[in-house]
Amino acid sequence: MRSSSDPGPRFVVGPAGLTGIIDELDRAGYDVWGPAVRDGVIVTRRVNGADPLPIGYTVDQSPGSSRLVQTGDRSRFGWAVGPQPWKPLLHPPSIATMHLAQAGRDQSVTVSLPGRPPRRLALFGMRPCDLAALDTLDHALLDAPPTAEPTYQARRCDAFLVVVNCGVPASACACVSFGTGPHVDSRGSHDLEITEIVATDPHDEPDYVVMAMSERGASLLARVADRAPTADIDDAHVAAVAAQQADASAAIERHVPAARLPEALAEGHDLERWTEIAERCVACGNCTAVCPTCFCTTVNDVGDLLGTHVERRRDWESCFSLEFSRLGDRPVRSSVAARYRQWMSHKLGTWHDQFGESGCVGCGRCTTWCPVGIDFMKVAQGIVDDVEAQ
Amino acid sequence: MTSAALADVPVPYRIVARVEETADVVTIRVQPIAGELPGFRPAQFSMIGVMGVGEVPISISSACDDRTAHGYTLRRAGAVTDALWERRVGDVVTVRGPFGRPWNLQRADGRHAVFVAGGIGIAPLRAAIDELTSGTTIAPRRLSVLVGAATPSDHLYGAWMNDLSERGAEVLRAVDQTDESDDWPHAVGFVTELIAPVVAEWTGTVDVAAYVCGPDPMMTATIEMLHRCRVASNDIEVTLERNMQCANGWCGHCQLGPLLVCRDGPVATAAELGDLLERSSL
Repeated sequence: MRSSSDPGPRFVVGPAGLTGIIDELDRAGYDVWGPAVRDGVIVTRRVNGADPLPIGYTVDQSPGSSRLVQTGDRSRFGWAVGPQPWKPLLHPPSIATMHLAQAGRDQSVTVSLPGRPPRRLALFGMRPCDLAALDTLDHALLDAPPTAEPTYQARRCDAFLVVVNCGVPASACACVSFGTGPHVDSRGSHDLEITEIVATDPHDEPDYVVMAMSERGASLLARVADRAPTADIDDAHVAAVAAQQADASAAIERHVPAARLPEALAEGHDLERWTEIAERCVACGNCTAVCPTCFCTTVNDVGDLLGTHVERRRDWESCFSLEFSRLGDRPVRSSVAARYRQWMSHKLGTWHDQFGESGCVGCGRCTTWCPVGIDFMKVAQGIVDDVEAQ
Repeated sequence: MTSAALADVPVPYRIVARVEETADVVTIRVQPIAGELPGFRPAQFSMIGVMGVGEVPISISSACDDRTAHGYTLRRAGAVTDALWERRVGDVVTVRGPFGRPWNLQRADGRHAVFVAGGIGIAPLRAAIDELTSGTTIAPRRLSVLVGAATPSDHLYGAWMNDLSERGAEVLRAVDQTDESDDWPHAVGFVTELIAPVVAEWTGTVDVAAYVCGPDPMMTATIEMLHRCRVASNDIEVTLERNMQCANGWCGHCQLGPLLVCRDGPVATAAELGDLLERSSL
């Protein structure tokens, strides 16, 4: 990260400049992933300069509901977050971590490890909350364990991160109280930071304020400037960025309960509220799949019929599954109430003990994509209220 | 930071000895096919694997200064341990490890070391007891080994246990129940009932370093009894068991509230543990 006294290149571009960034990343050998519309939602997929970003969409979200809405304007980032975090690219849902071979039970076992991923990843269009989630994953998978997790490390160490500040939060968003958005505010491990300034006439193309946040970000922007027209950032742009940040912050209605949350979750272990939530929760695990920081996995050995070749796989696992806590012949957390309590207590409480920070970044996905519309922040507030009333 | 290869990659080991301890508990001794036997500290564990079946965490029960092979004692309780039971001398299994935080045996120096085991819980204590009875630099002034099991035939390591008495340890055994055909000269009742007579018998200041391993309810009851005998929480260590899959702090399975057992444990003091084992379905 650059110090403020030594800013990297920063300028204003039009849509051609965004295309230029994607083209330059592609030329530099990155697999570029960015937002696209598919099946009525914003998803993340491979993008290239010839393939335009989705234009004129916003997302109307509430607990258990997400609707893509066409706005008719020319914005490319008028939505908050889609269902898919960036996690699957860096922490794949299912991956072979090694192959084992043994010709017979009294023969030795040979182990072969996969090579490095062929191309580096560029994540184009991350939101500030997504960037915070990657920092959280970095701490959980790379810094806190005695040994860094190799699959994530191989993908994360070279990944090029392009963050677009959030101007249109959704109703499920709670980033302000976590300090993770709606603007990244030049802090973080990203390479480029972009703010979309929608034109006064929404039928005109927006301006994009782009800033380099790393050495490689700076050299990439220099190459973009050689190919696409750029303009200096003027006072109006500075004011527009500040206004967007203030307006977006003010628009965020959800907040994490302020005081003593980890303590309340521990003290509230036996609250009746967990059982009441469990009457609605279907233990589907959607919340853990869409959560940008849930990292739990299961080691699965998949053998051939002879048992002489085994593929060892690392698959995402959810604390909502019964198998997750199996100890001997039974699960430790057999009730849905115990499993919901584990999910929330880990995310908002014991994550602090394990990794020194919150496991939640306030992106709101767990609430939006819960099929029965359980509101995560409302449940957390209820737990705090119950404990205070005890 | 150790390399990923050390932590994640299974190493082939050959079984060089196999002893059936009870009807469903076996001890295997294993040697690496190539390379050196790694060192370890008591209560550390390894992930033992059978090709095509999977891996399970098992603590090392052989002595630390035994440089010929590592011993692992396990009970048949699932697909992997069933497969391990079926392996014979000459067969090859895989081993990753050792992992985890060991007992703090230094705490026992000059004090009354009390080991309390329930059933197969004696296995992670065995290397510690061996070390403290073999004239190393750590010298407890008294050493008690209290072992409980369901029935007389569930007691492990009979010969080793008898030998311990000759090495100066005080060994007390209990069973939950006997039937008339059993010739059982020891106590009948829970192992927790053996604690007070041994600890309270000491008329001076209670100066105990306790090491506990067994099923969760047994460890909870043991901690409670030690507290009643005025042993402080910081002087009680337990070794925890949870579902472990990666053993590297990556997979999240072995969480016990704030603890990742593979990373923070398996050993924890009663002070660190607090009421975690008593919280239902944690």
